[in-house]
Amino acid sequence: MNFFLQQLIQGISMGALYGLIAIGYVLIYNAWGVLNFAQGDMVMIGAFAILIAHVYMGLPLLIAFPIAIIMCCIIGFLVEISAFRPLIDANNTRRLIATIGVGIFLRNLVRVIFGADPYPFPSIFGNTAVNIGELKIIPQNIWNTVIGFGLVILLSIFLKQTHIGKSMRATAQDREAARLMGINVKKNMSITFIISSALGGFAGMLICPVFFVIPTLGTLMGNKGFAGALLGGITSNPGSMIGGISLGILESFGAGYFSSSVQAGIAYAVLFLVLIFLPAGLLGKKESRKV
Amino acid sequence: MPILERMSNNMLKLENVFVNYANIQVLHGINIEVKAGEIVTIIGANGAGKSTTLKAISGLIPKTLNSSIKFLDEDITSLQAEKVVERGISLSPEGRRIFPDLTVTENLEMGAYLRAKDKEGVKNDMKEVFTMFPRLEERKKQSGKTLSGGEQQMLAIARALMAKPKLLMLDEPSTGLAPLIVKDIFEIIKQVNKKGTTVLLVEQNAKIALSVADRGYVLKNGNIVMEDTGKNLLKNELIRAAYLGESTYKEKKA
Repeated sequence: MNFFLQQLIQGISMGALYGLIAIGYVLIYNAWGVLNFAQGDMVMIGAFAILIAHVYMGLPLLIAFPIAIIMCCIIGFLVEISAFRPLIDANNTRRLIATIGVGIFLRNLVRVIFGADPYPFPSIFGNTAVNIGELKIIPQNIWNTVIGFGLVILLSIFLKQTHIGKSMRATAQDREAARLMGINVKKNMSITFIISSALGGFAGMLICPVFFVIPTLGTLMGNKGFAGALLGGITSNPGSMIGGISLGILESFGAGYFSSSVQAGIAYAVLFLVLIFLPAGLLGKKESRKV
Repeated sequence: MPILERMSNNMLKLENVFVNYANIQVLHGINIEVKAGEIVTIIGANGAGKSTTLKAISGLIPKTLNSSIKFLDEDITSLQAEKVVERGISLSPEGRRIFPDLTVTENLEMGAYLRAKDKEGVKNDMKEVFTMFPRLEERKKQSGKTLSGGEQQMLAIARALMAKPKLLMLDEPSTGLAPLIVKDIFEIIKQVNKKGTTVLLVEQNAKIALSVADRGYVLKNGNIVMEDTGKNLLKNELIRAAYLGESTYKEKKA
């Protein structure tokens, strides 16, 4: 029983990060109509941003975090205006290819600057485990979960309650009608990209004590986030969080009860199974949609 | 035309407006005038360029060189859609185009997007819109996609009104609706006009459009082929033949 709970907690904490990445896919898919395959690379950018701010510049984490987030926002914005905005009216295939191109570009840009070697990152929240009964919980697990859920709740409050948030949803649902309301569609698209970059980057920052910081980190994490988004139904924000967490739990049980070599394959298995048996995901719209 | 002289306060003036889609010219230099306080309608068959005209005015599609659109004596020819609304022109687009996953209230709030600072005014206008469309008030917490066709059309008009436009443009408000609901909607259009909003209406249902309109234009293959008062156009034999179904008319007479 303890082992089960231990694995569950581990899974939820990892899944919360997958959920953060997944929600970035969903936000952009809803607003832009195609998947953003550079979303995973924003996770990697986040990891390098915190590496620069904390390890290289030696800033304390409380200052390094906001700086790293701002770096992610800026890079997300630059990518949006340089690569995606010119294609706003292009067909889906071209935009999809653009996102793949941006991903390759970011990955290799970072490789040129930092090299392909992995960088270790110190623990963010300390390594002293908290004992609850017989369970040992490391602070990282608690914080991942709290921050993951916290950000998703903040995001949904932002989208549901604020004027700008509502107009972003309107823009995602019907761009032309939104323009007729006087909504600045370009600005809203930029904000959407900035928010999803920041969320992805945040996941990257939280993940770097667990993984090494390498330029290909984004491919790995991007696939997990994508699987989570698809499992949740690619159009639903809460769905993507549920999808991410489900994936995290599945992985954790896979590793715990079978072997850790199973873990890496689970995201792909989920991807295949969802595409075949549950194309609308857990909370997605049931109607057929353009890819 | 005496009627033109009587109402001289020009609100909207299209001069020589050309629109191309890719290589195909859709509007061949049309001239339309709308005066403050009027209901003006543009009738015509499918593909005549009616919706294109409204889209061109609202800034959704570009116009070719030399086209001129003036609103309240200011040039708005090259303004983008989001700027045109700011000037006081609202379009209730073809196919309603309400936001399906926003609630009725949120849809109306989006209509008043540019008036965010005027919270008191928006609140009052929402009340007024709800008295005009009581059905919408009953459903204000439902999402747009759960409304019936008629309710969606009401929402589209209400949403356009929330911008407090000087000129309200309506693109085919009668499409796909039961005759009784069409009657309701045109009753409301008249009401809105009486309260001081100028209306430019595009319709395939020429009969009902001409019956509420002060003046009408007939658009055919991207050209204005006729313009007159609504009453005169309703009586015009050619119009009856082309847009109202002459045979039915003759049968009735016989």
